Amino acid sequence: MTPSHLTAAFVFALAVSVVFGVTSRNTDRERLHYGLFVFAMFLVITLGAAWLMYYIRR
Amino acid sequence: MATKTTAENETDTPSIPIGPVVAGWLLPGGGHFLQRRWGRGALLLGAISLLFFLGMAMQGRFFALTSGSLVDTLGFLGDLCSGLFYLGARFLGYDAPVSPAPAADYGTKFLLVAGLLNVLCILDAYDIAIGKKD
Repeated sequence: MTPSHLTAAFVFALAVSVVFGVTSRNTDRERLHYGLFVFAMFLVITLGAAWLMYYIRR
Repeated sequence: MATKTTAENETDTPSIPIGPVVAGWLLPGGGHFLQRRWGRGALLLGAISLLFFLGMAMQGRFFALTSGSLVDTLGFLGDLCSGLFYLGARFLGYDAPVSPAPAADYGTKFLLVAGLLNVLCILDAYDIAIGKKD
């Protein structure tokens, strides 16, 4: 199995944000919000770093 | 009097909840299942299973204890935290070949992170057991 870099990053972010969300907060609403926040941050920072490296490489 | 006070304090000290901790190590989310947190346990089991089995499908490698390197030793301990997933894979003879493919490297990280995330699950099950969390 050979997923693309983006797919691997997406799956990784999904699994980690679920665990962080479930284990880090006290109410279901807070867990959902925190999980979504962590997931979004994973993707934004990963894509941002990828674009940054792309321009540095040029 | 002092002896009596000490004895009372020892009686008040909560015991370590072995059951949820061991269940949480053996099966991700097991500590939550044991304490009837079915939904949270299922989410944890699903997320960690996804990482672990995708890691295996991507031909990720487990860290070996035999090399003597500190990094490998810590990696081995991280892998071991996956509990029955790790033990079962080892028992069934899973051993991916060394591969230069990036996917195999991702797989190795997926396997390691699955174990490390399970540590968070164990700690969460412990907090629930001692009443620190709901």
